[in-house]
Amino acid sequence: MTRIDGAGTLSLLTAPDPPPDPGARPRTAPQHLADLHLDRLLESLVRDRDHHGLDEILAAPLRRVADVDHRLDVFDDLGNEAIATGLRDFSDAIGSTRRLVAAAEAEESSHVAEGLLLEAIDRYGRAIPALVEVLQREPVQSAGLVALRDLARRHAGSAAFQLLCRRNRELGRRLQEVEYAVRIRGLKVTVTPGRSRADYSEDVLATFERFRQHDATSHLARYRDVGVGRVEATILDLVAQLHRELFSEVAAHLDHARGFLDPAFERVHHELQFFFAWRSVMDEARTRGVRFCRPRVREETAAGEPWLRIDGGSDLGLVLTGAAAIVPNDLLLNGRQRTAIISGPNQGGKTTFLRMVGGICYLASLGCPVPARSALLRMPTEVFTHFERAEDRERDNPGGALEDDLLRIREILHAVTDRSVVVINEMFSSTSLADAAQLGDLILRQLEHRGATTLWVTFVEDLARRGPGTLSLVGRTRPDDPTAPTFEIVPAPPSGRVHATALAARYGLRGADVIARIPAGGAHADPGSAG
Amino acid sequence: MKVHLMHPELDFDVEAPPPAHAADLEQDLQLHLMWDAMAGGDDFLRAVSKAATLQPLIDADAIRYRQDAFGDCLRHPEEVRALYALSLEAREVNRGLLGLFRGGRPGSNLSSSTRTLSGLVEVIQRLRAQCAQNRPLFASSAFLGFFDMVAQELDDAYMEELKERLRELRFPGGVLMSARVGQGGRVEGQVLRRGLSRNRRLLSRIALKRPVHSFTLPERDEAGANLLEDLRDRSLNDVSNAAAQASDHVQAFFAALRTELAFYLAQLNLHAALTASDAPCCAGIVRDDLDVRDLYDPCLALRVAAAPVGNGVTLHGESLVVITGANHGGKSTFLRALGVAQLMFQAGLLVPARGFAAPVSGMLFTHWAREEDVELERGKLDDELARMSVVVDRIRSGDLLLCNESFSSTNEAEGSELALDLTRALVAAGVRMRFVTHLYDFAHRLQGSGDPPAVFLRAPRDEGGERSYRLEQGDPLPTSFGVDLFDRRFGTRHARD
Repeated sequence: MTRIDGAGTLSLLTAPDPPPDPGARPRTAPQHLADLHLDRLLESLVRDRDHHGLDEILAAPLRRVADVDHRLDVFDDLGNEAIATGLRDFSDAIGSTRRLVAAAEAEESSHVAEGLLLEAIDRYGRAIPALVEVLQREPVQSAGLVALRDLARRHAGSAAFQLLCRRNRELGRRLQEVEYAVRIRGLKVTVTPGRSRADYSEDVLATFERFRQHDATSHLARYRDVGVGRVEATILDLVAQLHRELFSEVAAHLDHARGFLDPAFERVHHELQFFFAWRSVMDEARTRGVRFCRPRVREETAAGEPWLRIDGGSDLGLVLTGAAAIVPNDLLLNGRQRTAIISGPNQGGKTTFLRMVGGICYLASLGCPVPARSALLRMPTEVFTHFERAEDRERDNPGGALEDDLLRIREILHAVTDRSVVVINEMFSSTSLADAAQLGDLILRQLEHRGATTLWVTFVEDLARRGPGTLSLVGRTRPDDPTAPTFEIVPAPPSGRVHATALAARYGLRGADVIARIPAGGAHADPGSAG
Repeated sequence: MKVHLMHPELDFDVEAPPPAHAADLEQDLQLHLMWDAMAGGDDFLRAVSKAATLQPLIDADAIRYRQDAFGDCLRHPEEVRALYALSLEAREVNRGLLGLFRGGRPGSNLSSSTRTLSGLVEVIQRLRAQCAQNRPLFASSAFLGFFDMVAQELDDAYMEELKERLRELRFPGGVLMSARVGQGGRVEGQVLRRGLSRNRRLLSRIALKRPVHSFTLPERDEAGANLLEDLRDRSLNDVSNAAAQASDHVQAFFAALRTELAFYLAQLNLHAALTASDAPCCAGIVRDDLDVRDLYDPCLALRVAAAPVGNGVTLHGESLVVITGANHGGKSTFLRALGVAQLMFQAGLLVPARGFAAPVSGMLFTHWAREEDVELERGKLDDELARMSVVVDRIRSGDLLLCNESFSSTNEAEGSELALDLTRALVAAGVRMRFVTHLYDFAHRLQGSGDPPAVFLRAPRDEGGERSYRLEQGDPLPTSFGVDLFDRRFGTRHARD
């Protein structure tokens, strides 16, 4: 088969212009993805779609805004269900074509291999025109899919392709019309020409029908689609002897068709898995009420635009565990603000907020639609996380947990740039409040000096009062019940100890309660409290 | 062919999931004693008894249908046992082959199904004979209907057809099928032709068509033989499935027979156990108002192996019976008797009374003060309310609710308020209630208001050291005999208030 021009550079994953960066992109350390609860999510995507290089794609953030937009453009087109369905059908067909060709190559019996190839060509022959039809009918905008459409159109329109398909169809139909009878008696197999008749198993069921009490369960043995064994291959050879002319036409046709599958389509088939995988995540999250948007990713922040803005963002890891109702949250870092300090009651959604922001930044850097109403960010190079870890506390570390905290943050400080997002959860909880405040201030100065964007969940409220470069966020509680969190994280000064007092009151443990509960007389008079 | 010995139209499902509150019923009414007596040591009889008790009949004809059938069983227990033995034999036909049967390959499945079917045909022959012999002896429409159905459906011509099929299924002339060239050249779309047990001419006619191509695998080619076996199996898949389903159908028929007969055998067991204790039984009658004479708790009779004291009550339109009075005076026993008898009545069983007329109710619910509530971390009243809330979730108009000391875990004022509120609401919603209570305020306010109308029964005080356990109709008395006892069991201190 002849190749079509332009097939070599076609890619849905990277923009053709400027030419792709030759160096391998650095991968994000697994620990950061684990802290963001993205690791299992991304692994599950790879597990379902083996052999497509997905793990590389998902672990390596893009460096260029052009590539991010290239992928997001394709996602935009896939938002059109007709296009998405068309591409899925196309991808499935190329996948099964590849499997059939591989099976034919491994097959010993020539007639069996011929059957597999006829089927492969049939699927391929239907897949390409179907793809052209969809991509021409629907308004395709992305450079990637426009290039795919044009390539497929040239391919489908070529005389060689059309001849291949026509001939394949005709021979397939003639083969299907072949009928024969087989008799198996002991080890002897006899093949004769023959026609089908009524099904005997129905006679058997009819005889016993009157005993039926309820629908019978099936006792059909299930057969996996294993290859054709040599006994069936021999039967096929005998059938071929009954139809010599037809089988030699088939052999000639397939000889001519060798190498019919264009490598560009195979590559697109692999690349599409990335888009399908992410869309499956989006579909599932949407059923739980999550909205997705196309993030606006900037090379540089334009005048008057905020540094980082997320409206109605959700933590995908949490959403997909199905554990809780989703409360979307906002983040706005304006002007010179580079740091957000988050404080407030425990179990109030602070960590979830961190994962939401870190996750959205990371996903945007892969060129994925993100779980938010809108998102505006600078092209980040990497997301770093520093989460408190239970196992670190137990480790036999001479300097203790504090030293471990410091060692890990030092590593991060070495690597950060003004394009880094640093997400910190409860660092320095092992030391005194005064120490933690002082150390925290020192770390923040360094991070600010490097221009990094920092989000930090902490009980050290002093860190939120460092001046105009720092945004203070708190976890809100219900106005009527200060012990009940709303899971909203909002800009506000640190709330102090209100929450703890309320919790004590609920359990009757405020000073005045405790005195009132100890009776002066000492007798137990309350019948309800016994037992 | 439907067995329909337990209902004129419906199949009986021994595996129907029990209602969610079945465990409460069992515990509160001590039903396990009754089921044990019905089982007579046989787990299957126990399972059928349990299922029948928990799936109440709701129309009078269906109840009478079972009562009549049981009349036949009482007159001809040996014949019924013989039929049951036959249904057990049908199950044994499979037993020996079970290992080979499920999950095997179609070829071997087919031969074991065919063997099973041959064994079942033997059992069917004997079923025909027994039914014909029994026909003149029995009188109930349940048994007569069954015998007539067997005679009609399993006539001589049909038995011939069965045997012919079984001969064919052995495929004496080899497996012959038509097929097509499938994907990748597989032998596909096989349609099996009838294995010819008599007419071999057709086979030879096909075989002689020219051209003929054939090959024979060498004896020592085991791998090849396996592949051929695979192909043969795949081609036999449909007919093997059909034969296995046929065998299932016949087995299902005998299983249904076994199940429905087990119900009557279990009832024979129960009847024998009760009459051995000189406890009376009668067939209940459907009527709008409850009217019972000498009703006793059969579970108590079975436990003490003696006829307990019976009690009676007659209603005239009231939905509510309130039972008050002395501890150990037979209140809870009578409450249980009312519940168990209702379940037995609606299972079509004889009831433990000299006279029993009652409306059919939907479901039976119980709400018992529980000793083990004390163990819970949650408050006792919390727990009582939570359990009552579960009942209220499920209960419907026409259902029967038995309350035993409900809301005694709080003080009388609060408990009475709760009980009164709830009782009025439930009765207004059409629920029939029987309420054993120490809450005098509750009982007194019910009586004073007449809202809702109720019948009051009282356990007499233990005056001469002899307990009569005879409840009498009468106004609730203000003295609370049971508070101390309750305090001991619940660890509460109501008595000191």
